[in-house]
Amino acid sequence: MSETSRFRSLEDGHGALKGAQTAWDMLSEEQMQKHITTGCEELDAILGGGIHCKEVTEVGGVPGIGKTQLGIQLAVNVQIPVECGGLGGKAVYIDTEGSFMVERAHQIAEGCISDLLDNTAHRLKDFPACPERLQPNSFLANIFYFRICSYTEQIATINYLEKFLEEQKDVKIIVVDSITFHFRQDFDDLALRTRVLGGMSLKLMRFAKKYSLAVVLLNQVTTKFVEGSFHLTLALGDTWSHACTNRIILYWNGNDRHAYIDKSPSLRSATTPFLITGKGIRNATSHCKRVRMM
Amino acid sequence: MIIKIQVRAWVSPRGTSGELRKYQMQGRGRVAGELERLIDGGTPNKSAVASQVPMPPPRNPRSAIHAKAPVTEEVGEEAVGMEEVSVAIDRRQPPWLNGVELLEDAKWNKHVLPTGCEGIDILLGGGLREGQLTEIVGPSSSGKTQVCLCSALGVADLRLGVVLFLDTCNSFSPHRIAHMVNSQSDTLAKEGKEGSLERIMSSILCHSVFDIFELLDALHQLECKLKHQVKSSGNRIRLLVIDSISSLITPILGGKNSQGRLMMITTGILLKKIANEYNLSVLVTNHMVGGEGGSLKPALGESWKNIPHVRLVLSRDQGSNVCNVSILKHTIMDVAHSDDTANLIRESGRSFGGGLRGFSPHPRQSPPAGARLPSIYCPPLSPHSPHLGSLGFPPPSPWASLRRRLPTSEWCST
Repeated sequence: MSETSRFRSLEDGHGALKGAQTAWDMLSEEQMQKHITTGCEELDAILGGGIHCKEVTEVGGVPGIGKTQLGIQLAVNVQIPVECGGLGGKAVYIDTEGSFMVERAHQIAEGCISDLLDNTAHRLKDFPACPERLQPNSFLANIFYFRICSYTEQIATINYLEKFLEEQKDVKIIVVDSITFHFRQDFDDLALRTRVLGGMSLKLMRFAKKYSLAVVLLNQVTTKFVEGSFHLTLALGDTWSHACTNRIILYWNGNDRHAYIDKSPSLRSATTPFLITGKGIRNATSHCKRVRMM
Repeated sequence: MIIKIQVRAWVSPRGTSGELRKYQMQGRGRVAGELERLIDGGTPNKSAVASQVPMPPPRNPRSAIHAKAPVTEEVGEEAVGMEEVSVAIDRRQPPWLNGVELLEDAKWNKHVLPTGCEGIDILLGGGLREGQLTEIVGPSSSGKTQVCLCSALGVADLRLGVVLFLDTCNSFSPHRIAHMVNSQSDTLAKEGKEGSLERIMSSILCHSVFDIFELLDALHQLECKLKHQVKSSGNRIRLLVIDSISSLITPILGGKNSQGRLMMITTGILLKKIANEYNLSVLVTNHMVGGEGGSLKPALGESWKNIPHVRLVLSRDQGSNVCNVSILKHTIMDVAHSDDTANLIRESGRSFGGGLRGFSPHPRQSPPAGARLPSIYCPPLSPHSPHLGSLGFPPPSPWASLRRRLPTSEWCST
């Protein structure tokens, strides 16, 4: 007890830096924080519970690996009501490539709802308001979709988001699909590109921290010539690779999709398989499904 | 009036804390305690302090100037008189230091803070020096943030003082620090698990900054605070970490106007000033960019190059468990320093393989010139140490299998 009061006085003594928090407070806050599930329990396990709020996560991989699927899945899963163990938030989806398929989003929302009803039917009985909210259309209504057609628009939209987030406090995830697309077309001045992207990533970091939301950036792959051979890396270069907190790489291993944590300050590197099904992203093994049935 | 000012001036960060430590070193704890009590304002008659305790004059002329500030605020309208007084003080205490005084200052006030990572401590001859700016450079996911977290933990764990962590990438992870604390089994045995965790975590402060102006603002606030934080030497801020400084500077650097460069240099000078005057160790991280010929070099260019006192380069081979650290620049130690940065990095790249075998864990051994020692071991070597290696670094990268899967013609499309 006296120990604690001593710590308090210590903190007060150093409270001059406005807005600074002790790691102890941050730790307890972090333990209270819920994560956004990806739908695949194994992927959640290596991510420490799912996509973390207050962090910027970059997801990269070859075309067709399921980046957009993961983006849509997260935009749907963030809306899982609090009663069912979700965040009950809303999603901002910034689409630069035009790959957001609303039919697919509807399908994933349906899949998510049917799984929720299977798993938490007993809990939902206590909350009569829930079934009305558990409709695919109400899920779609809570995804704010921005279609971006040039990099100028992209910069403008990110700048506008500040105002938007101020009004929509419920937004818990921002998905940018993809951060790369317009910056890889007609952008001659690479130094300028680095600067613009650096500024953009700092803005997204600020949103993540200030509004306690998750930012997911989808990125494409490119090739890099290193020591006589070509390597696949994520696009936008070395400087950009420092811009995000976590980096997840999706890749093919044989005919299976795998996810790999390439960079994270708090998670160990790990690999796990995942599946893309009609319902969305799910476990690759059937083990957990059996648990669910019970 | 004048007596009061003299006392204030003498209670300077340098002189007092250094002297206090000296007393303690000589085993005169009682005297030091008495001194501390008096300085804390225990006596109503401050002139008594001056007569009872033979206070040394401040070692650093700047600290004498700073000590005037609170008095000026108090007196207000007597500010004109204060000018005269300050001139008088300056006459008594010339605004320079001689070599002996500097050496004393370095001896008593510039301690070495352990980074908590043995390899780096040995390489740097003990760790991060107070009063100096240390920079860690490395490519993405080479362990820069881990070294920062580890150093913060090291300082907090040994009860050395408070760590201030300025975070620009939301990469400060209290969870990770808690994990590192929990893996140190020996300290936990003595204290309660919860208690020691809370003690350590409470002495690490974190603040998020997302642009250069916020950083400068935070540094000015910190400076103001340190100015008035003379007496509490036990819980003073010892280490300032900025992870990463380059992500703040990159967006303003370049282009036609040189304003960005100016702000970068201003930040650097301010950091060095704070480090020197308030005996702080400053640790910043920087990233790497592709230089000529595809080799990597530290970002922020030539003007930044001469700001840090110590530059460390981190690297990790693809799929390897061991992170390597090498000294790129050191102001004190005898390091074969080359102006050709890229060359040095390439050179260290070649000798990575032999590094681990050539490493001797003898703590007194001074590193050879141009030393490159592995700082981080893979988990089996040190399962309970706070080394970064206990992270468990990744299995071989998936890129390998990616490469195999794709025919060459497809990769070259971009």
